[in-house]
Amino acid sequence: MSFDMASTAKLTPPFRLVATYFITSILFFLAGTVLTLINYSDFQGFYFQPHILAIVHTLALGWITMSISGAMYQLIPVVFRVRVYSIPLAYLQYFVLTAGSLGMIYGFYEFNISPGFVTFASIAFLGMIAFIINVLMSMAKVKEWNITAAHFLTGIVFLLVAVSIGLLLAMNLQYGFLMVNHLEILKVHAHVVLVGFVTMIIFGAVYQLVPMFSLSYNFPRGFGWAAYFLLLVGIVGYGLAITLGDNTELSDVFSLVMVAGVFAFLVQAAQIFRKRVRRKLDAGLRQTVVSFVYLGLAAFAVAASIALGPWKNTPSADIALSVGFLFFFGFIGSLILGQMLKIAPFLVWVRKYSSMVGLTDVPSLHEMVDQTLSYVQLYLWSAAVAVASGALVFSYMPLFLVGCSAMTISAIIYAYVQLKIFRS
Amino acid sequence: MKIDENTLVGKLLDEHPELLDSFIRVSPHFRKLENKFLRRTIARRVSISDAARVGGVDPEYLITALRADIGESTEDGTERGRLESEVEWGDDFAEEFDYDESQIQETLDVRDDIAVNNDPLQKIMRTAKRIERGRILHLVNSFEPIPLYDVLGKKGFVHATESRDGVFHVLFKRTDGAAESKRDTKKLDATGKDVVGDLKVVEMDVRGLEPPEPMMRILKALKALGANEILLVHHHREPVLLYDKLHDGGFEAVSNKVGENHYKVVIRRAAGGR
Repeated sequence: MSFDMASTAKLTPPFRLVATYFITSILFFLAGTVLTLINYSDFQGFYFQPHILAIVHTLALGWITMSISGAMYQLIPVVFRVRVYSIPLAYLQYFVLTAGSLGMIYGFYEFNISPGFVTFASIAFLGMIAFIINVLMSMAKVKEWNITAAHFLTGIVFLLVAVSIGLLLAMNLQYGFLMVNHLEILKVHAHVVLVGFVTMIIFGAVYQLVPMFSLSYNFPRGFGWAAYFLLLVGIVGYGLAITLGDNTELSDVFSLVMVAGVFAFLVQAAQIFRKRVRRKLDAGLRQTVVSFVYLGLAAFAVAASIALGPWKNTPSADIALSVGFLFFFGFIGSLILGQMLKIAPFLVWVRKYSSMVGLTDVPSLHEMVDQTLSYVQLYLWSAAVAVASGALVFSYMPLFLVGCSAMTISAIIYAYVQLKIFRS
Repeated sequence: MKIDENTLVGKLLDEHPELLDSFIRVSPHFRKLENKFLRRTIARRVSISDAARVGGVDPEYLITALRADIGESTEDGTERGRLESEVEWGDDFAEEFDYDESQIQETLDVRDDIAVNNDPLQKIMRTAKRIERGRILHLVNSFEPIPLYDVLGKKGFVHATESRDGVFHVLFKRTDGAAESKRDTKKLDATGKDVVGDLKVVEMDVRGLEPPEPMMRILKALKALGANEILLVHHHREPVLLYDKLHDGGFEAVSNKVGENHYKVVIRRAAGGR
């Protein structure tokens, strides 16, 4: 297969586009941890509260989706050798999504569910549509499909489903027309976002990034595919079980299917790590390993809470909040933090230093990242999340406050390290 | 010599001393093997899988690397004679090309020339001149000789290429013109002029290196690349980020997938550019 040099445009997107997404995501991440700290007392009891909803959407829209957008715009050309469908659309997405997200977060926080809220939700929705179109049109040109492609395509379709449900929920908050229970649909919305979209995309990206950074080849892929199908069946089954019949037992079965999928992924991840040539793990890869540990913990917690029948008498909302915390900050959080620590310096290096190779001394990736601080951030974050999640399970708020404070400090250190990379 | 995990390192290096470089490339740990005394004594009793564990690398990766290198440096005349029957030409190819083994007039293996940086172009052109109409020149090379398609195409040859185990087999069949035809200089354009001349191949292997080491080494090598040299890079993936950089610098590249995690990237100066 050869590369057609007749076309003069580059395959990879402009550095500025990806950097814009990444830097913005860092700022939203910081905001999310600070908001959590300020409102820590809201985390006891039920999760359907304005401040918690605001924080969740700060993290989901501003941090996670922005990180994923930047990463996918970079990864799709590199992995599949196709151009991003439209760079202007990618910029448009950025502005629309940011505007819509900020409006929504404000609306949630002040519990100001006016028509303005629905307007901003619609704007955010349009931003998402722009993203979905861009990804689908880019992937339409892919010639060689692999496991990452399957994950990306499925994940983006689930995103469409998730944000559509989200818009419906927003309208329901304002106009109250939904026949079924808002809270039940909310569960579906959360699961489709976190498992159908975020987890799928993360898994797909991991299968490219981890082997690339740890230099791992020749690993089997059976468990990866098993994880894919289990997640797919699990999330679809869960969604249908709830929307069509409000059937808790059936939805529990599908939750367990998703848990099985998670464990299959962890086996696959272990196989990748075992086959690596580069034995020593740096801060970024260590944080990735930590994220997988948290993922396992969260999955185990879900399985345990389902399996232990008597626990059904206690409000499951407590468990949901703790599992959500573990999943959000422990799994997704650590993974994004860890991978960004590898991706950001690499992108900056290619942009700023690759032309100078051979002419002058260029720094290595190692030198571009503040090593001490990144390790401090890694350990502090990992411990803080453990402390905070543990405290949440028992609703022991003083300890939860300690955990949140540590998380915020870690986030500040992380933001500093990352911004320094982008400025180097 | 067959390499597997039980092959003894010392014995292997006795028969193929050049593989020492391969070991070191996989892990700097293996620099110890440069010590002759060590090779003669301890290394004789150590198997490849043991060595891999000691060196902290995956045994399979080491074996694959050694096998790849040995495949390109083996001198075995009898093996080559059987090459045509080992290579499976696709069905469409056979139809299109009207291929028949008896049509092969000459077989030319230029891998040794490439390995010692001798330009085989003159040899190839002289051999091609002798090929009669309807007959085939079977060229064996360590990378896809794309410039040749053009050059020999202008002399009335069609070609078909098959790659197997990192070795490229190209069949050039003369369909037009006659053997020993005079070179028609009017038909040569700028691209042809660039190619017909001295063409040295500089080879490098960046597999097993962490990003951005591969890109860094390739860019360094390109800065030092002479006007009549091309760079052949063994890479574990298709280097998309590199393509974008190359275009700015006035280079062009072609990649061929040789196996899982093994691509051969050929980089040369863009035609008409510097």
